[in-house]
Amino acid sequence: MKNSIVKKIEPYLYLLPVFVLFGMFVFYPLVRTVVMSVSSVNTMGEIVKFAGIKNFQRLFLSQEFWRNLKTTFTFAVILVPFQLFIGLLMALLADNRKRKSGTIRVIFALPMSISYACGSMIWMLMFNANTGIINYLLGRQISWTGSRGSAMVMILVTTCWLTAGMNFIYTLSGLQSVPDELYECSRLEGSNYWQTVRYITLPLVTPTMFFLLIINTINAFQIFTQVKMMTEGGPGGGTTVLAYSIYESAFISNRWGNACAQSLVFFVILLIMSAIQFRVEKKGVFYQ
Amino acid sequence: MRPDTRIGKILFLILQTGIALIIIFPILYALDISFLPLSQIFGKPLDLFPHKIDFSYYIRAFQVAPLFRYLMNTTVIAVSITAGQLILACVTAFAFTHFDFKGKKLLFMLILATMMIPGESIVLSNYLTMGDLGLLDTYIAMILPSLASAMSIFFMRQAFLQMPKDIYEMATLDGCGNLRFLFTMLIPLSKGAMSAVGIYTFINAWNAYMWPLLVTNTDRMRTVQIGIGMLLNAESAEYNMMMAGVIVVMLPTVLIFVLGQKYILSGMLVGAVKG
Repeated sequence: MKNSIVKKIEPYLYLLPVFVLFGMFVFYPLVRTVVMSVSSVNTMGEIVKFAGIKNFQRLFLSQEFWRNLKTTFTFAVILVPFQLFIGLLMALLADNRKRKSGTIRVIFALPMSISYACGSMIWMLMFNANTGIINYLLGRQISWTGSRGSAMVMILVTTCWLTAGMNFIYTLSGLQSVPDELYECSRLEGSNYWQTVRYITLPLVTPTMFFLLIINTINAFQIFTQVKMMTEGGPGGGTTVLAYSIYESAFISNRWGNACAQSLVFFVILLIMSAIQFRVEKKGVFYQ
Repeated sequence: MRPDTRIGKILFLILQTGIALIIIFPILYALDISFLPLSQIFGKPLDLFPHKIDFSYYIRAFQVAPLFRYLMNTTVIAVSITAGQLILACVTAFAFTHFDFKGKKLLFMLILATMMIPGESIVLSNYLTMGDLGLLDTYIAMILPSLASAMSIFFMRQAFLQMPKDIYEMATLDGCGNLRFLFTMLIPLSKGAMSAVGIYTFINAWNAYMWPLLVTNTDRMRTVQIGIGMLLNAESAEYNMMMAGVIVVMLPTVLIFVLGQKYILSGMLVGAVKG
């Protein structure tokens, strides 16, 4: 009798630690963010009283919020096509049917192992106005952090490099799922490399590319480290993306209610994107 | 697949080499700068050739910032997160693959749902929670929220599902307890999956930036990623010393990545995520 009760609760015991952790650090904070976003919150992050939608009202009326949102979208819209193209190009160049690993793959994937903080430091030096190699190669004296446009270019280039490894790996695994026979057929039909890429490879990696489109867009929205280290949101707030703005509002301006309202907007935008992904990817992550 | 014409082959090789160089260039650049005296870095015309290998800027980096302390902190945190996440992922995955119980589907969906909640949207509340618990500026604050990961659980579940069911039946018939089965049979048989998850988790934990930035406020507790920013804040433009610091901080993850490449590059992780 006792044995069967133990048996019944056994799986729940195994799940307990993970659910306690998720409860404490994922689900509870989500609820807390919602509650704080509809409250007046003092500079210590303590709730003072219920405030209804006041935080949201103030947020949607502020020009900075719309500017930051626009900056965030701009980053994503410019960044993602480049990321996809770079990933695809690298994967095509490294797709070798006979060898499953090799130096070229390790090099192509290497940025995966490098932190955003370190990558930002290196690229900052490369973009340095006086001593940077990039100005040297261009033969110009551009102050990259000086204007909004150039600061964005700097962050975009750095991000492309930082994410190249991840995009490469994912696209490569998509390429490798193209069956050998199709390539064999295509060759026997007399098509050349370009035709094979165009009519066989590309259509078959579309699902992978779509998956990457969403993942990259979500990641682009989460850009934080590069902005914090390279521009601190500047010049004049020109590169303040949403994630940075949340940080700035809470920890620098101590406007916690506002920061929580922004967190919620951020959450909803990313949720919509994940939802699109789950819908389109029917076979999805769930069951095999 | 490769092109078959001669021109195509040459073009292919040029592109391959060119992109490999672009990818690796920033790393070599940082390494190069870390050995150059400032006179050379600022000199005109630009001469980036390291005429002698001089580690003095590395020593300088360790003097300017308590890099040793940062490295130790980050090691403690990253190792704890990796070990904890692996154990929890295995135990959780085991419950999902080897047991039938009420609410199994729902609980699994709940775990997957955590993947849809971006860290940035809950980071403020988590910071306040840590404050409430009096845990700000401690290792626990940096380790605890990263111990449970839906990705790792999902991936270990995939690995366990691929194991033949008969070993479990045989083992239980022989009187082997569940936990003993998990730790003495299932886990040793899933070494490949464990390595992939472990390497991935370690690299992510080592490289974490936003959370450690928020919950630490003393030098004693800071991690390397936040610490190298301190080198940057130094007034002088000692770029060689900065890059020396960056190289030291990057070295562990780059080494682990290169040594463990066969697990990461095999695409196992990708396959698991994409299903």
